[in-house]
Amino acid sequence: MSAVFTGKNITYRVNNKTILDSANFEIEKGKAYALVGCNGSGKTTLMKILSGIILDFEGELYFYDKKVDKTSFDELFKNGFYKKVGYMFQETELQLFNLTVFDEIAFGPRQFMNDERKIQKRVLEVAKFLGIDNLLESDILTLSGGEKKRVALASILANNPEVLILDEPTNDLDPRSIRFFATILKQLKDVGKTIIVSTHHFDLLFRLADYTILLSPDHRILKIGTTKEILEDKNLLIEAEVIDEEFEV
Amino acid sequence: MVSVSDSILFLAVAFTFVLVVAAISKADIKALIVSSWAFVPLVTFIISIPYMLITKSVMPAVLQVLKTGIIIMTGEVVIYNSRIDRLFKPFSFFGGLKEFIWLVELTIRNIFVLLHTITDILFAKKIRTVGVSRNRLDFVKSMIRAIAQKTIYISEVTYVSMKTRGFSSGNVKFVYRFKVTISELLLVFLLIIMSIMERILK
Repeated sequence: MSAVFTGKNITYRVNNKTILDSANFEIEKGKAYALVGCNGSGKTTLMKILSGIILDFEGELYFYDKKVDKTSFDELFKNGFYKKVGYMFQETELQLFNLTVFDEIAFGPRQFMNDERKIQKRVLEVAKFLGIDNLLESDILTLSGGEKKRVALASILANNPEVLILDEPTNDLDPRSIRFFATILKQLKDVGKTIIVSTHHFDLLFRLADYTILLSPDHRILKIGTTKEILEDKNLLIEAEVIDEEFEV
Repeated sequence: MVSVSDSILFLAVAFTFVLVVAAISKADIKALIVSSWAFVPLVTFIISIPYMLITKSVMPAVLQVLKTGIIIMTGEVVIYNSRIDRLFKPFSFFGGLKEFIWLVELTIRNIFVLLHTITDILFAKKIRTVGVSRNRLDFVKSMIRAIAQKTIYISEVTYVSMKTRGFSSGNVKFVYRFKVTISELLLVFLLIIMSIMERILK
């Protein structure tokens, strides 16, 4: 199995406060990983490190065999890092910065393609896949929360990345929409995409994640294992402060 | 047509036409008139006072003021009746303006997000205020600080969002769709004819 990302002792501090502590991991190609942990455990930070947004961390990170750090990232960027890796923000509202859905989805392809017809074709493909082809001319500011989430995912998928890093994509969604997202992400995994998703929704975990990375409240990786193995260990989940004694998984 | 016209009658017709369109559009007529005429035309009038004194002729200045006001009114009615996301698209016809238009659109969107934020802050204050609001100055100070922080945060997230989709400032290329339909061509053609007719009939 080839590792898409390999992290060795990754630590991240802000003003001497540790946000992520000595994280070691390997992310296998074509698998789905869930990042689970209580609020403030470092899930978003780890995702931002993987997606090249945070580069001033300690330790070593590799994207395949290429080292990711401050000095090498410009070269990775020029070689189309973001054509291979897509990142969906937790704050969908702020991630969407164009005025229409079409322009939002087309933004990524326009960075890599010149042919407007091909761009339109790609936008339509992605929009149909996510069931938002009827919204292409809509003003983003008027969309519902669920629609905005779909547009945000579409804007990432438009570049057809092989790795999807999704920060709490099912936040604020109703159960039906969560199921829709789970189905979509499962389909993407089935066509070989590597998916890293942070979530508090066990429904999404069960349906999607092959492996779960469990983070502790003190910002360490508590355990990496199969999702089944981790979710069956109630004491471990309590230790991670993800659930309490009364919660039934 | 308004800008090249020297006919008071034509300007009166144009003014009435804009008012009718505004009324049909259910725009606030009073607000439209105040916002269109209260500043720029007034300044135009003040600027033209020396000209009036020198030439001892009031008419050119009056015409200029009327033209300025009517053009502003027309602009406001057009903006009122346009979808904000399409307002600037036609300008992309002029190639070099693409980045500028995109930045203007981005700014408009950020203003909307901030207006939302301000409304939320004010509403949050209202639902937590019982009776008379105290420490108003402190509230305004902290609100300004919060808005400034949010503005920076929005800008940062927007930039990162652009970057994670492959954007690089050294590689700016934005292609906007601009399609001229038959109806738009007919409208332009009609406007040209009307403009010529206005000059002939003057």
